[in-house]
Amino acid sequence: MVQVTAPSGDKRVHPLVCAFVAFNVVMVTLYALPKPSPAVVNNDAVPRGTDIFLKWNDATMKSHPILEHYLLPTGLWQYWDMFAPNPTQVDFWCDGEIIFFDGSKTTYQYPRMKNLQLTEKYLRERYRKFFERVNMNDPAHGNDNGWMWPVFAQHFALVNASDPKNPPVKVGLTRHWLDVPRHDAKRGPEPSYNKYTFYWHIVDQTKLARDKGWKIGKR
Amino acid sequence: MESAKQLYRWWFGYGSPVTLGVFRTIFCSLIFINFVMVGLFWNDWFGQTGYVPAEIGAKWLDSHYMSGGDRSLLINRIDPLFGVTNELIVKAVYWGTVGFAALSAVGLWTRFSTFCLAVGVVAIHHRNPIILHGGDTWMRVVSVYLALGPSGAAVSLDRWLARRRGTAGEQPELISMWPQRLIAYNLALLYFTTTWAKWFGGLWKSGDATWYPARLHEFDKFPVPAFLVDYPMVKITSWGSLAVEFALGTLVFFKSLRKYVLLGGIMLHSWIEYSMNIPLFAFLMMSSYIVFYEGEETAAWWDRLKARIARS
Repeated sequence: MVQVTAPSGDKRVHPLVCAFVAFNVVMVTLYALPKPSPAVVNNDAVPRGTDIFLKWNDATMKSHPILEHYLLPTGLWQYWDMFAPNPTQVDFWCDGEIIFFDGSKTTYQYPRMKNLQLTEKYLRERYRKFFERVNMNDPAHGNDNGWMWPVFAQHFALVNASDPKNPPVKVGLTRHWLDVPRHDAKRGPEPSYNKYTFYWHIVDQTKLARDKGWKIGKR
Repeated sequence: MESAKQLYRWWFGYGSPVTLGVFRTIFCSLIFINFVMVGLFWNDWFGQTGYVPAEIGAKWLDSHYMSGGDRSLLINRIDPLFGVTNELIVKAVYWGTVGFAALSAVGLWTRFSTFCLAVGVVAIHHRNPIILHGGDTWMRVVSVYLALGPSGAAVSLDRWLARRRGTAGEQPELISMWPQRLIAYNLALLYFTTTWAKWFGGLWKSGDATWYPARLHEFDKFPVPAFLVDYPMVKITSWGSLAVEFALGTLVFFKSLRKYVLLGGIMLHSWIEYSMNIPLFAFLMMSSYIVFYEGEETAAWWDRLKARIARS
């Protein structure tokens, strides 16, 4: 296995392959380069040093049509910001208040990793990731995911619907969060989580009935 | 001029395909496991009655991954699932991709299998990009690179069958190294750019960053002794992470340093895998380190291992 057979003749790579490789390297590099420092992004500071290049790259190259039309279609789009520029400092999870047709209420626990057994949390981690994205609602920084809340809440209704005569009619999405105590703060017991119901959804009864396979007008 | 020639030889010269074959086997097995794990909750992530029906995934992709979200889906993507609301079709593509991951792992019909796997992974990721983490992005990029090159030239059923038929020699033919180099370059780019991004965050520079992830209970996995997530270990792990990631993006290409840099990376990811619940991420990254080794080195290592086992 150590030895390998040399290909016959003086094989060289086709120039088009070389051109493709060079092109790909430039494209993915420009796209993967980080944004400039947060102060420059927020226009609180004048770019200096590498920030000048990163700001130009962010504003000009990352949205260049050639780059867009190469990376998105092929699936080679990429960015690498794990725990960057700073790690998340807020622990959060979600549940929903479900109000039924007869006025009764229940709380639906969207998968909370902390409470799951090891295997379950390994398998269900995508739920945490999904809520992380749903929870992003910071229009000032380009994250405005409030448009996902109706679908998110409607699914809560679907999961909790069991009786066509008493369907969920309203769903409240509640965020629970804890600001991790600063590293330089005085040590003490862990503070309790805050909670806030950030969205109330009127359940789309037609969609609910269709998704459940209920006959409309049955109740 | 000589440096340019050396660079050309590094990228495009011919060498053993063994590393690429071993890497393909391990990495495609991880893709297979990943998709089976996600597929356990298929309806929530891909069903029309789930959290991410087709239109939600498409809207997310358009508004988040490219500028000018108002141009609504004008970019033609390699996305056989775009606009498809028939769950049977989506399921067929999903589980078909799982099948091609298995075929690619064992190296059967490798050219075709890796091509279909790449298209499948891209399609699935474009169908629901909202649940993806960094490991998924790496998985997608690598699946495309594997499809571009002769990744089944060694360590594959294709080669085993060819040898049985007498159409292949005892040793695999040399291949141009550019597919393996693309993976290696992209992996180094990953670490380099994440280090650069972290440099802008005050917490990494001050050595306080790892204080925070250790206290995010949604990531809790195995119990961690308190002193490991308190000072002075916070300083050591914060600065240590930066140093290791920077080295993985730069120094890893120096042969004399490679082993130590990769050992640092393995320690970093092993710690993350132990302490934090980020499924398969560490395995996807660590398994990729083999691409920094030449095929001849991987084959020689295998021969030494076999000899050692035979002696014992």
